[in-house]
Order: sequence, then structure tokens, then C-alpha cells
Amino acid sequence: MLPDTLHMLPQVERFAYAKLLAFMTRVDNELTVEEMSTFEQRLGTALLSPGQRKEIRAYLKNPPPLADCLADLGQESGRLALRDAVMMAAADGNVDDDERDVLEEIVEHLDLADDSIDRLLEWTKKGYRWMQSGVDLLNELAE
Amino acid sequence: MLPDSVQLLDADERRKHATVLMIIAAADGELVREEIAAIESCMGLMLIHPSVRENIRQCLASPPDITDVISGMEIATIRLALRDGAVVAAADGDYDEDELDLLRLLAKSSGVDDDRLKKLLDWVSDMWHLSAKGREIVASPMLGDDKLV
Repeated sequence: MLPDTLHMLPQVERFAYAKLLAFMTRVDNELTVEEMSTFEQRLGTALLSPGQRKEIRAYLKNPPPLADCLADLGQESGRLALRDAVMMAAADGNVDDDERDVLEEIVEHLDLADDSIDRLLEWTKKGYRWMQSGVDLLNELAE
Repeated sequence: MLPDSVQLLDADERRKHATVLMIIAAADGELVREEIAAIESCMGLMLIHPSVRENIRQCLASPPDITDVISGMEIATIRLALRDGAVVAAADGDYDEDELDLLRLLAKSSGVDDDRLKKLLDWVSDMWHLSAKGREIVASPMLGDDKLV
């Protein structure tokens, strides 16, 4: 929820970023509450207009081809999309093979380092632990 | 942001929670893009219905009295609003005194003492570091990230 560089990008790139995340939610053919929530959270951070969000949500039912999603992404929006695609893939607690394959394709498209996904997954795990520490803190408050 | 217990709140509690965040964001008399992004992000995380979000956004123009809003809230929801309010208040880079007053009010109303409130603010600070690390990995730095990583 803290400030990110995402909202500073041109609108067309934020839209492309969200389109890729919509694609990502459907890779394993399941859309869990956790994934939906993470997806909506990222749409909020991207500061897309309500109309654009509606358009993006339609992609949840009919995901565009991955090539279309990648075509509209710039280098920076692409890297941010990769970061958040990793976070979204891990949102249900597991990155399955199909999700991993898509992440690899994004890395290849952006010409990033081979260990990019593993570094981002490690960062995501730290995020989970940080989030859990917030929940633990709230639980302590309740004692 | 990762999956969270705010998704488990009922629709009315989520609406009140988001309204509290709006009040905190409006507290310092300035509303920056970062604060709006933080609130929109939180409303998304809570899966608040788009039409309800539109109503909540109206609170920015004329924020309701926070005591009216929290008087009908569950204690657990006030604590979640305190946690997320601390994040929203930090979104523009610093805690304003008016924002801190609101956080103290939320803390008092939900039985959170000063030590615990400080722990919460430290937790928010950890989030800044973690977010900066994520941006470093994807080479999308924000001003000031070099001091955090």
C-alpha cells in the first residue's frame, strides 16, 4: 500500500501492466479470492480510472494472448509487471508449472537475468513474513 | 500487498474501514497522489464493490467525523483500520501531527497503548525498506530508496 513507482508511469503502460496481471490470474485456470484481492489491490495502486478497471476486469473472463500483453509494456512497466506477477502467482501459496512458464516468458521478453524470478520469489516470501508479522502484532493487541 | 484478513470483514465493516482511511488521508489538508494510491490499493485489497468505492471517495471532499464512523465499528476492525491508517499516513513520506492524533484516537478506541502503537509504526517503517528492496530488484527506484536498501 505504500507509494510505488507504478502510478508515475504513463497511463497506457499502467493499463498494459494491469492487462498482464489479468492474464496471470487465469494461467492456472483458477481464480482464488487471494489472487482476486491481490489483483484488485494492484489495480488500485496503478490508479486506473473506474472505466479502465472495468475494461481490465473483462480480461479476467477472456484473457488476451500473452503476446498482446507483452507488446504494450515498456521496460520499466514490464519489470514492475514481472515483480507483481510473481507476487500474484504466489498469492495462493504455490507457483505452479504453468505460472512459472509464463514468468519465464516475461523474463525472456524483457531480456532480464536468469535468476530474476527466484530473487523476486524470495522477496515475496519476505513480504509474506512481514505481512504475517503485522497480523501477529494485531493478535498481540487483542491479548 | 499480500492476502490479508481485511477480506474477511463484512461489507459494512470494510466500508467503514476504508472511510477511516479517507479521513486520515484528508487530515493534513493536502491530498497527494501517493495517499490516493494507498487508499485505492486498500479498497482493492478489501474487494469493496466499485459502486461503494465511489461513495467512499466522496468522503475526501467532506470527511465525516471519525468518532461517528468508529462508534459503530468492531474493535478488531478499528485495529485493522489503525494498522492500515498508519500506512496511509506514511504514504506521503512523513507523519503529520493531525494524522498522528487520528492514529492515537484509533489506538485509544481499540485498547492499543503507546508502546504497541510505536511497534505498529516501526512495522510500517519495515514495509518501506521491503518495498524499496522490491523496486531495487526490478530497477524501478523511487527517490530516497538508496537510503532504505
